[in-house]
Amino acid sequence: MKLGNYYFFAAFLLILVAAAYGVFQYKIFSSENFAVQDNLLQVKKLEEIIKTNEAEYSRYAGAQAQKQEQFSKEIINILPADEDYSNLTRLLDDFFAKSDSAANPIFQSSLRFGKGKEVDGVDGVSALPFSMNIDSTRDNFYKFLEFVNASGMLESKTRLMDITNIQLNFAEDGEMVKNLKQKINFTVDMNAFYKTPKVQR
Amino acid sequence: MPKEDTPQIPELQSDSQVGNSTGILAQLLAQANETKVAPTVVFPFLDDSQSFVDSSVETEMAKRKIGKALIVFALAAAVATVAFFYSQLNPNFTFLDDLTGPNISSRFEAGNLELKDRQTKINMLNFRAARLLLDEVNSGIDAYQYQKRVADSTSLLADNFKLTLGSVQKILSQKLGMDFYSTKPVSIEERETLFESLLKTQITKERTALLNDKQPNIAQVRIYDNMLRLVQNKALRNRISSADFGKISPEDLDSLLAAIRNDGTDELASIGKIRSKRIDWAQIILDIHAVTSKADPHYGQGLFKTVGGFQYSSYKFNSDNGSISISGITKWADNKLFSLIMELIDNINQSSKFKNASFPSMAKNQDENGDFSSSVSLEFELQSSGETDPKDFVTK
Repeated sequence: MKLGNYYFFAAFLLILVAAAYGVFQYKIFSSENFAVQDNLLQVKKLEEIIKTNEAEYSRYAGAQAQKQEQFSKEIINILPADEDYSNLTRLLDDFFAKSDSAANPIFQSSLRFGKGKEVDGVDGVSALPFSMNIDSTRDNFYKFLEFVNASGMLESKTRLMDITNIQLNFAEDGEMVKNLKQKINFTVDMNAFYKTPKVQR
Repeated sequence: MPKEDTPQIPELQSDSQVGNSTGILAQLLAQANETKVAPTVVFPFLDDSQSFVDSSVETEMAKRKIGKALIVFALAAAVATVAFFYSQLNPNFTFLDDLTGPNISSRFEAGNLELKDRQTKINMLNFRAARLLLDEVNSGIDAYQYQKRVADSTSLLADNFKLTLGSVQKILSQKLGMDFYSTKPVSIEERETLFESLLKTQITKERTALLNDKQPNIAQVRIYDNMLRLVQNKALRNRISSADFGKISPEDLDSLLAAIRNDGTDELASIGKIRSKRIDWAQIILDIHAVTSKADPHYGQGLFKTVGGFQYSSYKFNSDNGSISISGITKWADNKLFSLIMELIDNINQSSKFKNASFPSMAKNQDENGDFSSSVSLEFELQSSGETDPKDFVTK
């Protein structure tokens, strides 16, 4: 083949390659261009949704903030910000005074507090140990257990407590299951919980 | 060189002679003869065969010229094409940004980023709302459980929970991701993972910004913590999304509420953790009565002095290790007193509530009435619900 023809062939080939490359790239270019236009529309639509959602959220969050404020007040009763011995003592006195009657007595003879410490596995919560010695009827003993079991519920509004040890002692005749007036002496070791103070005292 | 060697010359000479009037041509010929310049160079077309060859060469030359020009043109077109598309399709090409603005590829990427950013904002709002709704449910769980214990009627609260959780379900059922243009195919799973990751990044970013304040709003920081935990707790999200709140059973609702409570790290969640570990000692005492009654049907009924059996004088319970100690006495009319004690031990071990009962040493007395008696000192432990003890299934 003559050189001139080679030139033509090379030129043709070059044009062909350039055209193929151009067509391929144009497709990408054209797609991206379309995508850019479409994205603008999508962004506008999403911004409308954001506006609507923000307005709805603000209304709901406002109402919820009031509930949270109320909740924060209530939670102070069940998980105070410190050991709060005084209110715990009042709470116990209040329970014993309300439950005690001539026909159905309960008598708290001692109350001893230990040293508070953080609870393992529960972040931000500490326990104040305390012990009591109590004489009561079987009926009041069960009421006391129910009082402790209901503690820490927002509804009960009583400080969160649990029992670590109990020792029950029955009179000479031993335990009388059906006799709710049976006298029981019991010693109980308990914890009253509170939020771990941010700054240790 | 002889003139005959140059065939054109005689003809040219004769021609010049014929013409004779063409003085300039004659002069040129004369000059050519004098300088012995080969006339073939000056007039190559005068020979027929040579003329054909030369014409072909000229055509070839012309072809080459055009070919070269075409190559140059093709090259220029190719370079222009490559340059144009490179400048448009390479997001890193910013050389002409000042003149022409960002290229199409940059605008494409920026558009995609904007889309992802807006979708992440929507996801943020959705998760904030879902978190608030879940907090509302969380703060009502105590009332629900309290009513369940006291009144055994929780329908109104349960309905409220279902309504609120239905709203949470609507939010959590939405896809986190959205369709966007991409140069590579993206599966729905990959898209969800991408938008979940963008959401986590955004939450962390806003949380960090809050913490960097001089006086950080801890309550707000906690909201972000709670949101992040909800994003990470895919199991809870799936559980809420797939629940049928119209048909959910009370047991399933209770279980879901427990999962919602566990998901929080707020005070209620901490309180819930402590409460869930609390032991219902009143129920334990009833369980002890039940296992004792199997060995002694008259236990605790005031018939010990007449009928015999067991009489407990004290209980000791320890919540930390779940140990229980009971002390008392036992009395029986016949000599098989130790068997009676062993029956009690077996009953305790076979119960699903207790395990590891032992009574290693026994001694008995016989009183003046002929009754046999022995002191009782039992040690055993609480068995957790769900815990399997091989002795539970032993039958006598």
